[in-house]
Amino acid sequence: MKGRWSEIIVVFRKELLDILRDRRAAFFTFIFPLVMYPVIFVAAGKFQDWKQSMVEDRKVLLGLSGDYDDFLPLVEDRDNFQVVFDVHGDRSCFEDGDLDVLLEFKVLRKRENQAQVTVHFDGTGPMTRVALLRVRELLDQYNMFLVDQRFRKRGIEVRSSELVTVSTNDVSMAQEKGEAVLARILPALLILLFFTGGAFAAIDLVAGEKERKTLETLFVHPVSSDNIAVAKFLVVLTCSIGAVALNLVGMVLAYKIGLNANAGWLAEITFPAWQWLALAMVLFLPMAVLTSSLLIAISSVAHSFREAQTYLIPVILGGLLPSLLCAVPNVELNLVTAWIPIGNIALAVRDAIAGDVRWPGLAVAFASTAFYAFLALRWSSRLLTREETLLGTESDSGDEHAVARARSRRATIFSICLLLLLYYGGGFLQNPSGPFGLVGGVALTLWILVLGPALAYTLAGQASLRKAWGLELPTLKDLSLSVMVAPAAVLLITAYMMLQAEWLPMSEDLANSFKQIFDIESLHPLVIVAVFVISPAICEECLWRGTYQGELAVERRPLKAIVLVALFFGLFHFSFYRFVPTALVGAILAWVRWRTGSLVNTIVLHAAYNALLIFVMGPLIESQDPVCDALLHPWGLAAGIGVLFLAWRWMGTRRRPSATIPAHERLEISNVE
Amino acid sequence: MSDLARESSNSRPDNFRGTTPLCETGGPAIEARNLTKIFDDRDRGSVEAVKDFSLSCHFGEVFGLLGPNGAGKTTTLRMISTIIKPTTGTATIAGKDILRDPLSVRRNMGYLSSNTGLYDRLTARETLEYFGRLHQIPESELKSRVEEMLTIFDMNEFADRRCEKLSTGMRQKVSIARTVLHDPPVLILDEPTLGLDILVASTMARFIREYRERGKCIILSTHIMSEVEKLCDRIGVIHQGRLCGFGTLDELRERTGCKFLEDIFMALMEPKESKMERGLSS
Repeated sequence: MKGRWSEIIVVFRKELLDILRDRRAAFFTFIFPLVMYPVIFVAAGKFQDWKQSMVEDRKVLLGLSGDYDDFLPLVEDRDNFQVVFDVHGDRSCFEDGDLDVLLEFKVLRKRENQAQVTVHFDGTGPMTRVALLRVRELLDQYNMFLVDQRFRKRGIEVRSSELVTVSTNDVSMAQEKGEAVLARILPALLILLFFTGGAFAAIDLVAGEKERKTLETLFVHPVSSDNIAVAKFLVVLTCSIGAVALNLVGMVLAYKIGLNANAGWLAEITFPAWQWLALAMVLFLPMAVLTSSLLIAISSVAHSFREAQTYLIPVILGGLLPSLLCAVPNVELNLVTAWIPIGNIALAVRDAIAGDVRWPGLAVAFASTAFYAFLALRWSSRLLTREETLLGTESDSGDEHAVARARSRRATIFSICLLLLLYYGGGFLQNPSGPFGLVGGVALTLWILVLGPALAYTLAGQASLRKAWGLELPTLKDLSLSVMVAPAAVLLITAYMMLQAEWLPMSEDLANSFKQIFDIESLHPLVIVAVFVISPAICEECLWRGTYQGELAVERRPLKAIVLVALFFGLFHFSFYRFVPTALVGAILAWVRWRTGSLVNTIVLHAAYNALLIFVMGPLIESQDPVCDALLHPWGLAAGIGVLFLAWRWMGTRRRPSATIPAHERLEISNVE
Repeated sequence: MSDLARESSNSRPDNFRGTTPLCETGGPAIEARNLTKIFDDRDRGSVEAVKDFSLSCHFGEVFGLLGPNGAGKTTTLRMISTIIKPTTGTATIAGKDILRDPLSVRRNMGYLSSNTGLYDRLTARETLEYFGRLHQIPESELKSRVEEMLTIFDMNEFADRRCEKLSTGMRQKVSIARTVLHDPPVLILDEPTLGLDILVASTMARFIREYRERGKCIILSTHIMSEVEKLCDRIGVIHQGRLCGFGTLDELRERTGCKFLEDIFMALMEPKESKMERGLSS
């Protein structure tokens, strides 16, 4: 028995090692979900906020009929209702969006203050759910009003009583309900089928052929690689469209032969008129080109059939998410949503199926998807015909560049992993109601989760910490200019944040966090300086401008390094609202690091920036001090830009950051030669 | 099979592309000039797989490219056959430049290697028809040409069987037929006997000899010494991407002072190894 288990363990260990060494597959299986969920949650939260703001802005069209005199003042107090008087309800008054809800009042016993209200609505209307929620609130108020009238005027204290009897009447017919549900489900389902229908063909025709060694056979025959790419693409497109068409035929046939007898609302569906169905198919055409091109592209990048399959999961998921827009109530196809790839077609097809077409949005959705499809087609064609696809090799370049790129890639992967650690670990540590509180959590996050890995990564690379991080004494000129850059950066970033607040207001949670940080009176100034000024300046600079930028700098592409460092610094703050401002600050810091070669300058600049923001600009904005307006006057901003310009002209000696290629990697190169 | 050359020559269709009798022009069939290929390897940095490779082969000749595994044989042949582009240098096949006119080059050559697989879900006949169409052999001639190939290579018995059901020897026959279907003046064979049993390997050797007799040029890459000794008119030894030496067997014997090809091979590679050893020890 023992021998048997030892054999199982030996084989198990080898198989696991084998699987984990397939780095791409392991990434998409284990790491990708960790990255994906934070992104989905943040995106879903933002989408919910956006949707909420859209709904809140829209007035509910409320029809009133019967004896509504007592109710009317309650509605007139609200500005999110538009009242239509004396409507006599039947289905026709809900057509063309003339009404969202109709309330029909009947006073049962005037003396007893009892009323009966019938709520008429069209269950398939886009605003119906929101309208019913608002009406529910009004009716509760109305009930309270009647209770007050009946009991309190008699001096009786009553906590609750139901004096309003509410009944509902959904005027939509079962067939309409069925069609509405169909319009919301079918586009997403068909988009999923476009992906899955073409997936096998794409994988088999590129990654599969690569694995079976038939791709090389094909490429030694006198046919241009572009023609091969087009032919393969057409096969994928045919399979994709064929799968969708056959699925549709299957659905219709199943319906026609009566398999829907016990299917509730499904039984009431009549399929859309042929012209709307034809329109939906035309809309799907560029999208099919887009999905097929994407499938060809992932198959070209993959080295094997299995690897291509692992790439499919994120691609299909990424395609499916926007397509679910069609199932979200209150999201309409307009000139903004018409630019959302795949989501735009889902919305357009939903409208086409429902026979409710918005032509300008539809035209933009079609044109933008055709444009995306064109780009994807060109991209996939380029990928398919490159040498690397055929042979699984990399393109030509010099030795040093290859090693530098490998180091840069490793550093970027390290940064992604660290962001994940910070998202989960930092979130736990910084929980205001957690064991460390917000302030303690921030300090622990910075010194343990930020500085620790940065230190470990750099030392593991066998590089000298002083050289890799640029821990060199700065010149007095650079140091002075760095200090001067701080107020200029504070002014410009604050001005940008005010501008941004016009279209992206700060969330309440973030505002509360800021209040806690900027509430100087509740924290000792030394604590603020230690936790929010010095700690971030040291820890964040060591990680982003030290370790990460130091590794990227070996590639000798300063612009790429500055952009990447700025991007990661923005992401590092885990706030949609703060992303652009912090990325801009990150870019300035990265630029100073590149220009001067010394991390000391960026630490000083970062500390000065934070101190000014917390002790000067924050309180000025909070107290709406006129000094703040004066600083943010165009002249003040011009002065800030002027300081940045001077720093750009005078700062640094263009010393390259001193990251070096470790000895063992140099040896590898010499062996190759 | 013994009458392969004669039969094939007699029935060769002259009016489809790739059949221009360039072998009679007297010019070099293959001429490579300073071919270099650098690959960027993710782990090792950039790797110079082939360095400054120059070579000239003639019609009616079998040129053997000999070298250990990883020497750069396959990369060289892939460059010559237009599958990959050289980093520097160029080559011509039957007068056509691999960079300027790759499609003409492909029409004038047949390429066979262990990396040129067959479509498992096509039958042998369908495979030949498919590649014949890619060579733009007119439909009126395609059927007869395919039938001819099936007869020459004794494939009638399994012509309508899917390739996935064929044995290794049968698959190799289909591959050879696929390679010579358009009767190219130049054949590039990259380790064509790799993994084959002795019967199929000897069939392959016979085919190469007969093809040479028809005035075609064949470049044969292998690391099997006996195969080179039996088949090749001239031999080139490639090691670490460089052509260490080339000539007829007698010329190489004279140059190295060795009698057997194995010793010649080692002698040609040895100076480089010695240099490396000296470099490492210093």
